[in-house]
Amino acid sequence: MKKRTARVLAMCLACLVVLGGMFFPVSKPAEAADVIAVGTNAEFPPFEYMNNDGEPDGFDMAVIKAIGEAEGFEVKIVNMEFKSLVASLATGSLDAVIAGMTVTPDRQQSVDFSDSYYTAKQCIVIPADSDIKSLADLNGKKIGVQEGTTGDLLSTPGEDNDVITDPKTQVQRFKKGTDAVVSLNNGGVDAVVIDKNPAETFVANNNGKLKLVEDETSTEEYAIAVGKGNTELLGKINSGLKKIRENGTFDKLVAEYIGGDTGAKAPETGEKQVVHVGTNAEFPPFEYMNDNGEPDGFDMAVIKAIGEASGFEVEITNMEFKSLVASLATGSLDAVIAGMTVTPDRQQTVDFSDSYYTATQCIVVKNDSTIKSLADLNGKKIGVQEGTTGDLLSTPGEDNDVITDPKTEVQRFKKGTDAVVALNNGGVDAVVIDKNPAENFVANNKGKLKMIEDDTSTEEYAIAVRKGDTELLGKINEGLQTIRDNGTFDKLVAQYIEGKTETEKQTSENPFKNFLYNVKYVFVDTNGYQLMLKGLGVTIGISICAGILGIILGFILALMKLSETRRKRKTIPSRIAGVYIDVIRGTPAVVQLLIMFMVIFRSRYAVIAAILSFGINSGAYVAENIRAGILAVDVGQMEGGRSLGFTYGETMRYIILPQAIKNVIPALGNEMITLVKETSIVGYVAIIDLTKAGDFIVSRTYQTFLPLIAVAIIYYIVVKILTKILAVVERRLRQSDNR
Amino acid sequence: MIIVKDLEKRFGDLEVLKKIDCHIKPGECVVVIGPSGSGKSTFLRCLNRLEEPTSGEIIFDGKSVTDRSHDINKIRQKLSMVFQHFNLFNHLTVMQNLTLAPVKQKLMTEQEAEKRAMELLTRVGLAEKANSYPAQLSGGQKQRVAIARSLAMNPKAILFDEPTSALDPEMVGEVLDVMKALAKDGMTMVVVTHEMGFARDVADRVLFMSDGYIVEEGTPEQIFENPQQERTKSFLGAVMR
Repeated sequence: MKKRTARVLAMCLACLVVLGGMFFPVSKPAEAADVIAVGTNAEFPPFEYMNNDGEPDGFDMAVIKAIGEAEGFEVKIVNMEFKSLVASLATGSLDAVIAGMTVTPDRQQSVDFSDSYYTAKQCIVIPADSDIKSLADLNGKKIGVQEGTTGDLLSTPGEDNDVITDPKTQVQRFKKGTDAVVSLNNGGVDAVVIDKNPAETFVANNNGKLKLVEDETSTEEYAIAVGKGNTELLGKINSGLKKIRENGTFDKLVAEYIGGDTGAKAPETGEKQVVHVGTNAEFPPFEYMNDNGEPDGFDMAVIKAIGEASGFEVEITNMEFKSLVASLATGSLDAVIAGMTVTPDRQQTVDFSDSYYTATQCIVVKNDSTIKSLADLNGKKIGVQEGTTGDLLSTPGEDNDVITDPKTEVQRFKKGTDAVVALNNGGVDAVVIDKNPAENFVANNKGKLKMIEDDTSTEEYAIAVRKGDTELLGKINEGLQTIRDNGTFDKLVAQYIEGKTETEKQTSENPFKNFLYNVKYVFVDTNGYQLMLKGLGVTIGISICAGILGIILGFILALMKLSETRRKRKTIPSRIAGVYIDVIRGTPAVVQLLIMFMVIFRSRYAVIAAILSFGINSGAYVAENIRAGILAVDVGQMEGGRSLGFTYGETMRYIILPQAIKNVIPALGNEMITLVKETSIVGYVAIIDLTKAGDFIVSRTYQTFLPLIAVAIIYYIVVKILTKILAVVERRLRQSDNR
Repeated sequence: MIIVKDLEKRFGDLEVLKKIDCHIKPGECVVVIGPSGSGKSTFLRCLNRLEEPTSGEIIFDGKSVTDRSHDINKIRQKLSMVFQHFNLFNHLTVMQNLTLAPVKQKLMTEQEAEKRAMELLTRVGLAEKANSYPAQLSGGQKQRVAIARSLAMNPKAILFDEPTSALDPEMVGEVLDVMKALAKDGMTMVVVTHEMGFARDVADRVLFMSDGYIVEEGTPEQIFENPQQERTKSFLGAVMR
């Protein structure tokens, strides 16, 4: 209620002022023109607070004074209640307000805002032992806020609030943020929602008792407010702000008052800056794997050209499309170029460069299909590439007013080509995808497919960077402009998007000859055999390294676990080994691989991550095999060894293990065979092994049978060879069993 | 050579050995007899600490076996053991079975060990089996190899834990013959066995154990011809029919 009253009041006042302005144009007294009355609310450290002399001080005060100096006006600070500030602007008793004030649409109705001078995040301050993890956890709780702040808006249940929905949520509005924190310490409220910087100060000042949780969804911009229509002052403030940003004053003030962490950083190193760029090489012609198994395509060429123009080096990382945005946030990527469409959703989490390409969505259907528009897809089976614009357009939901039939089935594929294969096989009725790949697909499936453009869905492709990374964004936009101006961009468009370099497939009437042509096309003409050989090498390499690691780990773990058998009670090593084996055997290998690659290796060094992951996984199984093998050796062997003066370790080494190996070999062989085949999941972390190579050939040739059967046969042969080797080893070891 | 004082062994609540005292002199062949479960094997296995004594002291060749500060592995080098189930190392040839411990423990060079092994194998009559694997031998041959293996360490005493119990009857003789020869050569031996004939013919002294005690001890004549204790009499009456 209170909030609404305040809003209505502010609107009325604003109306009054506008009306008043009509009757008393240019009512400002001339002699006061050089003194600007700036309002603040000195309860919001470090932006504004009362200093030891009892005067308003803080970052905001310093900023507005520096602006005044730059623009030649004097600043008079007036300290008042936060909720009176806007009203005072309207009545004319204040000329400007700087008070850590967030730009909101509501406020923009009654005041004009300068350019943003600071980007802030809302934080939840809670007692150190609290289990509150997000804003949503505050539903039904008692929340402390500073009256009229963004924290207040976020915490108050109401029509506009889709996070705090429980009407029983109690919001206690304090005059000062510090009062809210005192109440929190006294148990009066469960949490305080406040801007990040004061929150950090509060937590630091209550050392150990409080902690803070950042609310990523509520990033906000602080700006200086002036009376609605006061463009003269607004212009001065913006130009002053620009000046102090340019001459370094602003950065000095940030360092002095806030402490460096402003989100704007400039790592000025002598060397060329390396920019880690993510892509998803499944979207020809924008990005795809070339014959060398490296990401290639229009986007790759564009970003490299931009890098050359702007003086940074580009390192490409290939990953799943839907991981790209998250990787920007975690910092493992600096930029993303992946035929990514600018959408409002994405704009909340990343910043986009200028658009470099305009694309239209297309519907790919079989030649004989009656589908004519997106609306015809209602109730049909639609194939899309997961997470793409096509996915959004095809999925029924609140925001979708074209596809409304909830029975519409959307099949999400990892790759656009998989969707087209499904279309050819009759698995889906249509594929919704960007125009350029669609054209490629239709051209490569001559006569079988056609495409329909959907003009309603024109979209802009842009390069994404981390939210707030204005430095890189600037460089990218600059570079993009440069290559557009010097013609490089047009050349790349011609080369990658308009040029057709596909190999033509020979055909023949003779079915056997046709088959041979097919084989030649799939494996020779398009260099499929090279890709497969490389993939086979990767599969074998990873298997061998992981196998060795697994056996070593397995041995160590088995001995750790056996210390339990020797001591006849649980030991620390046996417990550690037990937990290790339990956890590894209890979780899927794919998940372990993803954790190793994405969490531990931060999406770098995929092959090493894969080897470690499979080695660690295999170690758990090998450990149990070896342990069983050792236990299967007669206890008399240990006694025989010990009675001859051997230590436990020597007996293990000379007598038990050589016999255990023999018991273990068949199980170990089994494990190695499993391992070889299990490595086929490394495609998840964008390694091109044998399976993935086969997959690529399918993408490139639209042939499923030949490449996949070839992959299966190669795996079979590898396993067969491994089995033979194991049989020989086993026979050798069984020598002493002969009678 | 071996002095046992107040030896006790418990498995949980079960008292297996109760206050055992005994003294085995150098060159002596002591045979331990008694019914199943009387603690004979446990007693023997306590002597080289394959079984950890609960309390009491054992002194071998002037060194305390039970004292933790002595390296038990060094003691075991000189106090060999022959097992009921031979415990030959199945993955090694007969020759390797004999040479493994002396060579790995750096007591002999490989050549010395092999020479010594051939002598010992000749002594137990199995020189031609040097390169066979244990799986290729009969039970009696295995036990003779096991005895040769224990001799390869040049021990000061050998413990025999029912060396003939796992053998077919026709093979018992060949093993006992080897043991007789050893005793005659003056080897210090402690033998747990059910072979009363061997006890009577070869033993210098016989210990009769029952319920964890040494009930009676003496020369074979005293024990077999003139037992004093009722337990001894009834046991002998049962086995010597």
